[in-house]
Amino acid sequence: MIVGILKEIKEEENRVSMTPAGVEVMKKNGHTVLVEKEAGIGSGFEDEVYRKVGGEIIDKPHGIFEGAEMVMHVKEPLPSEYPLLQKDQILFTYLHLAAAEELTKVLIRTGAICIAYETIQKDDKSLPLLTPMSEVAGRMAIQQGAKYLEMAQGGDGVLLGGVPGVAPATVLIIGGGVVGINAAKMACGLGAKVYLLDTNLDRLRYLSDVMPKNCFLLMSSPAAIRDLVRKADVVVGGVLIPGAKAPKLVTRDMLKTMKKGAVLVDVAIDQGGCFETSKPTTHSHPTFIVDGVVHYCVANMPGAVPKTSTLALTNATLPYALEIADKGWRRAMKENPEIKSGANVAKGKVTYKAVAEAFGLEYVLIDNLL
Amino acid sequence: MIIGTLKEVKAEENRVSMTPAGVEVLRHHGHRVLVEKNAGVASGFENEDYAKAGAEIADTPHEIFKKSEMIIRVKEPQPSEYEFLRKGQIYFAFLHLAASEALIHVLIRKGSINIAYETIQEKEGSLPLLTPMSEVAGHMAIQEGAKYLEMAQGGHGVLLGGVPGVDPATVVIIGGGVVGINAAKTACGLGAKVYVLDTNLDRLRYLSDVMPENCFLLMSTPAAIRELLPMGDVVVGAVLVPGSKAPILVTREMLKKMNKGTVLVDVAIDQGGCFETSKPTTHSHPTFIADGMVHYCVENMPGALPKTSTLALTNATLPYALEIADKGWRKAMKENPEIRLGANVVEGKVTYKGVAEAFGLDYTPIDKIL
Repeated sequence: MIVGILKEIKEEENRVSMTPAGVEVMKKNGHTVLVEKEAGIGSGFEDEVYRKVGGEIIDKPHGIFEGAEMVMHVKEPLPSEYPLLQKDQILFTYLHLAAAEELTKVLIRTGAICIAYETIQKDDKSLPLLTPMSEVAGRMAIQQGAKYLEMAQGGDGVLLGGVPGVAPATVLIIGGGVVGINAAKMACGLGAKVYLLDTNLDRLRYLSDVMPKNCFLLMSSPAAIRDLVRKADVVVGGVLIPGAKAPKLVTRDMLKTMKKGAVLVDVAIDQGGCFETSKPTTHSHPTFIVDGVVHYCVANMPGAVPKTSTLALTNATLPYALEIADKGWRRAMKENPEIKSGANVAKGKVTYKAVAEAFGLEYVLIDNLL
Repeated sequence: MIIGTLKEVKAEENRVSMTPAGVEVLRHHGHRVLVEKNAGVASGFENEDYAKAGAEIADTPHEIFKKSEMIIRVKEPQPSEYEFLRKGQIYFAFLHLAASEALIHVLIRKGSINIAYETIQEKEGSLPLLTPMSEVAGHMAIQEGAKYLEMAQGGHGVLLGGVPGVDPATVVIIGGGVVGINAAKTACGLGAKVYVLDTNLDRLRYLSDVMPENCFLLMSTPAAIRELLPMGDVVVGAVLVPGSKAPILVTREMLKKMNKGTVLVDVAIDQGGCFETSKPTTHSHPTFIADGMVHYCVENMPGALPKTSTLALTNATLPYALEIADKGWRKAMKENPEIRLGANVVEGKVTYKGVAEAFGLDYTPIDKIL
């Protein structure tokens, strides 16, 4: 198969959808890989490195869309790319269609096979192409909390880990999933007093087995949250309900009871945020203050550390891309239900239920197209 | 004794030299304590808290200077206060006189008793009133490194701790003293690959006993530094040669071999810095880029976290302040060699050798005055 790697054009997006190491694997399996010029620069990969492993460097996105049977991206296509998408072409990337009606309709019109990273799902319900980005975001959340606690940044001037003789900061992490456990590991590693809340008792039991002694595990409830936000120096929102908007777990009323200069890090902001007062921000203007509380609500947090994020993402996407390239999309979907669950729009039909429901469009079972 | 606590007036200085808890202890010993209005606000202590502990709140610095036998402060006197300094009055604070000729001449003329936090020294050579601030700065160094590795901040986009499947960042810490060990603990806790360099083999042995497995200990030599820098994502300069300028350990030439977007954190900047390309910065403009490297060279790093720093500092200063108040400065110096070493300028004489030598002034051993 001919696989095309596009350069990301969304603002503040420096990741790339395939590394030279990935190109090498593709070539070994007999595929041709087209790489848009400078696609890997933000992640530390020069064109020359792609060329050495057999990638063909293409000047313009047109060349990629015209030449490739499967186009890979990190982010969804932007309007400038809409006219370039072709019928029966595979598009494999993050799409987040449930929040993008216009894009959904464009994809229907093109007749392309659109497979979304974020809906690929394993038997155990985990989302293998979201996990690595949640790991990065969870770890970053604590670094942001530590930084924005500085007084010049609006914070209340507490050192996360404390020093001998002075108490460490209190970190409250709501949600004990991938984001939560990674945030907790970092906060514990820095020496903070960490409260980790989850509603799943089995998950709490597991966390209790693996987390260090400065991690306290509590059943999540509005009462528990109300009680702990008052004591916290950093609050991390790490909840995800797959395919739905994040619930508002910290209300404006609770905010009023918090310490002035506490820091809220809303990792759920890509799903609308889990604090009532959250609004999306960017890496160049990451924070704002409401009721004296610093809000860090950067959409797409992992974009800030593209070297790590690109490797983490492509470690997870490559096996799927390879399977699709080896087998073609039909057989890959027939044989691998995980890939099948990635089908969002195919041959002009919406094949993912939540997306169809979100916009009142007709839903066609992907099995009918295979 | 009547003890006065002044509000800090230096830019970005939010610490305070005495907490309400300290006031309470001094009161128990029968002393009177004056606290300037709003002196503790930025560190989280209201006037009311001080009043409850038995302090008298004074409206102006002038009043504090007029009534107190001992002034306790975080920073040196500022020019606006020179006129208030007076003969026989004790001034107990960070003075850093070796860097400030104008101030020395003022202190000589005034005939006051100036005891510097930073030259108080324990028998084994440690500096007990610098230690807590070095602890805070060491922790912070890694938090800053993590933040400024973000691409929007000029860094090259690596997550300090990595994620499963992706290498963590490499942190090179030059100097294994108080700053170095605290930076290393923090970096290890975040999961980075950490190198600590020191020239003292016994110290390396101790570090090897107490540090986690992701901390690698090396004898510091120019060759070792040269070899490690190209691998580093964050480099922390943590060397202190007591009483003199920091040695330049990383030259401009060495930067050429390093990855663009590496973050250099120069904790030695208060002593002139240990990277050739360092220049002092502030918390509001903390970084600059030179030769492709992000430089974080904020003077007075702990000032950003006044809540933690105030407690850490006053935990260490209070026992000395108490001894001076209980015994008077002469008896305290006679009986406690640590306090004696704090004497910098006393009754018009320079009593600290390093300071006298720095400006070619007459040196008078403090014992001649006692």
